[in-house]
Amino acid sequence: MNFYYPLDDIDVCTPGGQDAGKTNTSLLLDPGGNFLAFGSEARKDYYMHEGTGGMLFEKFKMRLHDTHNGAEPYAQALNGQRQPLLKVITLSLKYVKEEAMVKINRGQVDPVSALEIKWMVTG
Amino acid sequence: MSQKRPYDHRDDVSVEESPLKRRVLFKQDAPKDTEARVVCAMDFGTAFTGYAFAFTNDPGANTRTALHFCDGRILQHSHNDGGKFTLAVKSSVLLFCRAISETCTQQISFRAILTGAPVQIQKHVCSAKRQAGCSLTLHTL
Repeated sequence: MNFYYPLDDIDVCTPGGQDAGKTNTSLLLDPGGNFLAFGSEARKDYYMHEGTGGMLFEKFKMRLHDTHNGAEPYAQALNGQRQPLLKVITLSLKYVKEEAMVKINRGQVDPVSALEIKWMVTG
Repeated sequence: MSQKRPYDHRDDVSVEESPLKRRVLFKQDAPKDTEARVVCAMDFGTAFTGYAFAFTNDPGANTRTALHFCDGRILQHSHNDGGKFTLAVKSSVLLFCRAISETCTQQISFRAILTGAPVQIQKHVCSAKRQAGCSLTLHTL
């Protein structure tokens, strides 16, 4: 059986805005641990305002392997401060999800809810 | 009176094998063709992140074709390693499931796509998603 696959109707996106096709897995939090930016924007904002206490997390997914010993794993920011890994991953996934929702609903007369989307995650 | 059998991860999993691919699905989360208006795949990589989406009401499309192409595009786009790193250790799977759970509510069905995941990883994910209360579905291609 032959299928018609509408390739042009699939959008591949880069949360946080990077033109090279994908964005850095970087998360920027303020000194209070609140979300500031994700992706290349996070990196750019961090270096533009370096010294203001912002926490930039990169390569934090590698810390998943620190979960062996039973203790709650932490992600360490470039300035040495630490936050729970669960929080850092959660805020990152949340940002990507919310950006996807905005993009999916752009120009939609009948908005799509998160429950109407089949989500897939690869990690 | 029959006694309740202890949980066996194989209860949740159906495995189809062919010379070309091995496919594992959790039965209760097996994708349905009719539900989703949109398929959205995100690759949360160590260094890079991206996502792809497709509407399922386009001419010629349905959930499965959208899934197929989102899979293909996100894997091709991200040089994806199939989640082997994330899912190699049970405790890391649990943390990842908890993060997904907290982010997206338990009502949203998530799929993890793995390439040739060994049985040990499938067991990890089965166990972790139960502990996290997360509706994560494992799907190996």
